[in-house]
Amino acid sequence: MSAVPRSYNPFAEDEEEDVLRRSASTADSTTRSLSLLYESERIGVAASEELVRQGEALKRTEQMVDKMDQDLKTSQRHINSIKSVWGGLVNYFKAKPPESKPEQNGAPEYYANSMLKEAMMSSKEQESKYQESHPNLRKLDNSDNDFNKADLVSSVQRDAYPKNQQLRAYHQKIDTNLDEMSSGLSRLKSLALGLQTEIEEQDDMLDRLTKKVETLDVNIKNTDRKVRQL
Amino acid sequence: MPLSRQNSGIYQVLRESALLLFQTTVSQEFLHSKVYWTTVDLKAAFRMSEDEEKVKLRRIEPAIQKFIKVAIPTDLERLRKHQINIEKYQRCRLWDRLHEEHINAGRTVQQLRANMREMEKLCLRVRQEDIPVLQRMINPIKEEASTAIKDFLQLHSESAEELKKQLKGQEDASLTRSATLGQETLYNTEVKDGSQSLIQISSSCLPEIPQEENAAESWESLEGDLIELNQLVTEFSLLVCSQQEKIDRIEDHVNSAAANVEEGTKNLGKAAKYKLAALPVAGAVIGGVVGGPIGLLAGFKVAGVAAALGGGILGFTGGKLIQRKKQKMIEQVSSSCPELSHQSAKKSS
Repeated sequence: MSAVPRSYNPFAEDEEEDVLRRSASTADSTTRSLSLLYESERIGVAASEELVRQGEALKRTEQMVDKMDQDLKTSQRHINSIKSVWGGLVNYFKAKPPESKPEQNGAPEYYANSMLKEAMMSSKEQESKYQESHPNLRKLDNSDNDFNKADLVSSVQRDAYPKNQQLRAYHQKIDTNLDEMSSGLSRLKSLALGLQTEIEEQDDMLDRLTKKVETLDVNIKNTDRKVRQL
Repeated sequence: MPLSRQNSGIYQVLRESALLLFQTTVSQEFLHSKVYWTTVDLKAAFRMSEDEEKVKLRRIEPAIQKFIKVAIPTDLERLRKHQINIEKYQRCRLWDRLHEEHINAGRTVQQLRANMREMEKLCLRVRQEDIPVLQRMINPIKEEASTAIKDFLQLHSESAEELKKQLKGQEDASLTRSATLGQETLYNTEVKDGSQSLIQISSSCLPEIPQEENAAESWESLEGDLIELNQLVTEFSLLVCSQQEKIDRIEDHVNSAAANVEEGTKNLGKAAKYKLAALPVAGAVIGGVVGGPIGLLAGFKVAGVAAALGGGILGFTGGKLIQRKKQKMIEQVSSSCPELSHQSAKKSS
């Protein structure tokens, strides 16, 4: 019976130190990963802001295209009136061009996806934490940890208690880091979902825009031809 | 005897550390699933911008069948063997072997979970309409896997109780803490598909007492995932940035085109007006030309001159009337464009 416990004895010492070392490295690794996560969040927020701006630009482009369509119709009527006196009179009987439409779109409000906006807001609040966790700013902390560890290793006593505490400290640190990471990841996930919907909307808008621009292109060419023929 | 007491003390320390690390493993498992789903979502967002289409069930079917028929049954088989071994060691009270067996079983559960995830990934790529068929295919194996895991966990909790009796009171607190942590992870995990329940069940694999290597392994994989996630996000932002330039160019082009079209329309309007100006003059000339000979024919010089003048005036008025009508029309047409109407207002004043 004593043989079995004794087999643990010589290994236990080394194992403990090994455990300490490993815990320390894992704690550092979690800290680094945490800072990585915050960085990703920041990049994500920046990317989503740019995306929103692009969406606004697309909307403005669409309005411009609509305006051009209108102008082309106007010029068509002018051409008709120039071609012949009777053609101009015919215009009088044709339907008036819709004037109200361009006035409505005078002040465009781009309604960015609400989900995306919320995600961005929550992520922006983490700015301070990002500063904290950045590796360059954390070097001060690490030196303290090493000092403590050196103390313990030099102690001759095989008293298990202080080492246990050190171990506990490491594990607690790992735990807190992991908790922060999990919340960061959930924020990142909502950001990703918001981005997804935003991209879908912009995709649709792009399709519409492409169609309009194509028809516009054809119209412009026709008008050009007619003017040359005058 | 003091020696054995010292040994048991050190043993205790190891157990404690193992339990603490186990807690972290539980959180890590939770994080695993989070990372996975975030990666999936980001990849989906990526794909949206690349316009990839979902594929038919038939194309993925062989891969899914492989999962259903080969990979998962193998894991389940291995799990059953672990179960048998654990029972045996528990009866013979071979604690260290029991410990090992627990670890191996934990690894098998992780593998099983990884396989389920792979399958889920494939399932995500299937088109909407094929999903019910897919569900029918997957459900039997899911049921089997869930029952197997439930049985295994029950056994695990029993054997862990046994192991726990070997230790002193402090561990109780940490075990209950890990229990509550496990519960939290269960509630917080968001469910997308049925297989998530499996992941939940395997997360509640509480009584396992892993060695540090297990935790370190899962941590390393998690770290790898996080790094990948970071890369993904960076790539995404680069893409968005490169698109910015194109969109700017598009907007510039469209704006200049709009300006040009506007100018062209204005010019056309002006041309139409100039043309109209010619009308009264033409009218006058025609009137004079027509009226003159008529009057002269009539024989009266004065009357002839008067007729010529009258004809000229008639023609002029008629042309002017027509001009006015046309101008009105043009103004109506141009008033759709605010700038043009401004210009015409200026002209008239």
